[in-house]
Amino acid sequence: MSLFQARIAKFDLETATNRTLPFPEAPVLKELLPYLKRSVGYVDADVWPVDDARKHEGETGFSKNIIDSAEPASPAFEFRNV
Amino acid sequence: MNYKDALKYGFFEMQIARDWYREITADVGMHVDLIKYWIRISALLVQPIIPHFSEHIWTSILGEPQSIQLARWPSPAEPIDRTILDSGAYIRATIKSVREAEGQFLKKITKSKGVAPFDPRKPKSIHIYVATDFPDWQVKTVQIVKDSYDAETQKVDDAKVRQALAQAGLMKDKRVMPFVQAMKVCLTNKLFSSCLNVSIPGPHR
Repeated sequence: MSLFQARIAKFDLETATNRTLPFPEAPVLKELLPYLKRSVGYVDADVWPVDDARKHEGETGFSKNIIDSAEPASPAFEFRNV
Repeated sequence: MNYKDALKYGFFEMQIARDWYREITADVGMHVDLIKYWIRISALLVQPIIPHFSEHIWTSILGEPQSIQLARWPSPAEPIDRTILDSGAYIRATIKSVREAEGQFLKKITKSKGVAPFDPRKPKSIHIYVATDFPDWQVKTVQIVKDSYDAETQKVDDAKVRQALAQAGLMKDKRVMPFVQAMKVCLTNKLFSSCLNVSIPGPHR
């Protein structure tokens, strides 16, 4: 499975086979937001736990299939023009 | 003999590390202690190659009373924290994934001659979704493989897996079999318990 192999490439083998990360993802991603905004050029960038995002399903910018594709260690990205 | 390696790790990789740190912390600024540490380590690592310049940094800038010629090779004051290194790798990987995902949309625009649901060149925003649990189909599949694993022969009973998958209605899912294959590869290389572990350890969540 490509995702699985990609994960092996990304982290060391142990982390990949464990299928878990040794740190909590959301806080790390939040630290990254200012950099993402500046370097990739987003007007707005935010981190959503899947459970919270599901409550907004159907609203503009919250697609079910993208929310569903998020996995631990492999967040999903939903882009929109503003 | 290892001149090239010394230059690579002692100078160029150090420069790259600093550039990345400066870039990623541009909003909050770099930490002065870390920068001082970086200058110190850099001076020590390249000392055999540029002794005079290192000496200048050591005594004039860092204010060391003794010559750098008398200094010891640096060693970490604390054990290396793998978690921090892993989160650093995770950040880089995530940035790469975001850029690649945008690239996919650009390709689509070229192919469809301008019609696309999202144009990365226009003003844009992003939602990042973080999951704490694996999808249901993965959890079920892992359990099935687990049940079909013979600890004595260290083999997975393929027929049993197929039967159980069919029973659970998972055979039709195209993602399932490649996932089972990946897990089997993992099982032949690694310990049983770590391959089939889909739960997230408590303290981190």
